[in-house]
Amino acid sequence: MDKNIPVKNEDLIFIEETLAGNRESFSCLVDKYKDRLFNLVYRFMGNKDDTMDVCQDAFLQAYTHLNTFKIDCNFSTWLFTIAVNISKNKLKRKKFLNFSIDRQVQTEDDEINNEPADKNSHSEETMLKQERAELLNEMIGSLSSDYKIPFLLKHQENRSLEEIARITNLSVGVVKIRIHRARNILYNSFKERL
Amino acid sequence: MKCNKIDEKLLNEYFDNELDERSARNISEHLRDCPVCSEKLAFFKGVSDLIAESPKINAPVGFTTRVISSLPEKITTRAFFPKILELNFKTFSAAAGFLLIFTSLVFYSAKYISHKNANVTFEISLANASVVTLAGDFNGWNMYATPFNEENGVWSVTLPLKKGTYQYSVIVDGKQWYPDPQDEVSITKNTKIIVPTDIEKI
Repeated sequence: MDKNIPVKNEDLIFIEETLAGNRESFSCLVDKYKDRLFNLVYRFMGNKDDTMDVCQDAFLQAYTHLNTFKIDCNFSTWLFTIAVNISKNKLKRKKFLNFSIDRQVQTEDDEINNEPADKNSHSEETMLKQERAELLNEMIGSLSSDYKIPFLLKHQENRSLEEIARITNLSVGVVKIRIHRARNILYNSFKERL
Repeated sequence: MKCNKIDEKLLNEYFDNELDERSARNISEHLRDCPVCSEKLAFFKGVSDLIAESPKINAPVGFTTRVISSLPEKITTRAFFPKILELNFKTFSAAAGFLLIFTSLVFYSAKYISHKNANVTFEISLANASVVTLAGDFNGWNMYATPFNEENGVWSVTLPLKKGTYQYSVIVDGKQWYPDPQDEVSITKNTKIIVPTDIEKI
């Protein structure tokens, strides 16, 4: 707990300074959370362009609505709430436009997804492991956002159920059920694919 | 194959360490004899580890600068858009070669109020743009919500809008916001708005 107090205070100081007109303080907040946010949103969106759009928009909205931020909230939870909403809207729109599957696989991102080839280390076992990991990643990516978002907030962000509930605007019970279902969907799909 | 003794909720709660000591002990004992549940639990763990061990995708270099340069000058609760425009007037005055829009559907007399939609088409010719989007009152000024479609350098999008008063702007390549020089245009029926590109630079 003690460890968290200075973190909270630091964010509050940045927020107060930003509200007083110091944009540099907001850049400190961006620096502090951009990588975490980018990493998570990338999982939601599946490509760098959309991730960039969502993260940039999330910070812009956080800035323009900073005076509505409640002191008793955690800034990162608030920021992630904004980003989750933007991601959900964008995913819905992409689904509607029906080009999400084609766009999700991009050559630029492949460089990140695929580890450099080291032929010597590619024993049958590691190949199998890598194939398995690729399949699982693909299945996580194709989960509906209703399941994917709580599931990744839990496993990638290590957020508590209460925090996830706040971020997704769902009840703790619903969050829990969705995480369970996400796992079960993944398990069943994985069994089918093997 | 399913296990009839342990339901999925319980197994998930066991995996998440949410069970009390006694229930957890019962599940542990069950797992020794049940390959179905053991396999499932191992899968949960595998997925969790996979996510935890996945390479991190960090924000690109220059991201903070990009965000900060896109911020309005001052924080306001509402109507931050004009502030963005002010910023862009300064920031992009040298670079802006095109321009853009603003339209208003003015409809203030009660007897003329209609809730029928009018199809409004926005069109702009931009040969060198990569992404053109429309933001306005109708989409909460979300610069990503309404992309234009491009055909031979002509970008267009058609929206069904309730008759009323709107303001909007066109965003080129996600950063340049172009206001309409006319300030307001009154539209009460299906309309096509050709956004000029040769107006005074902003």
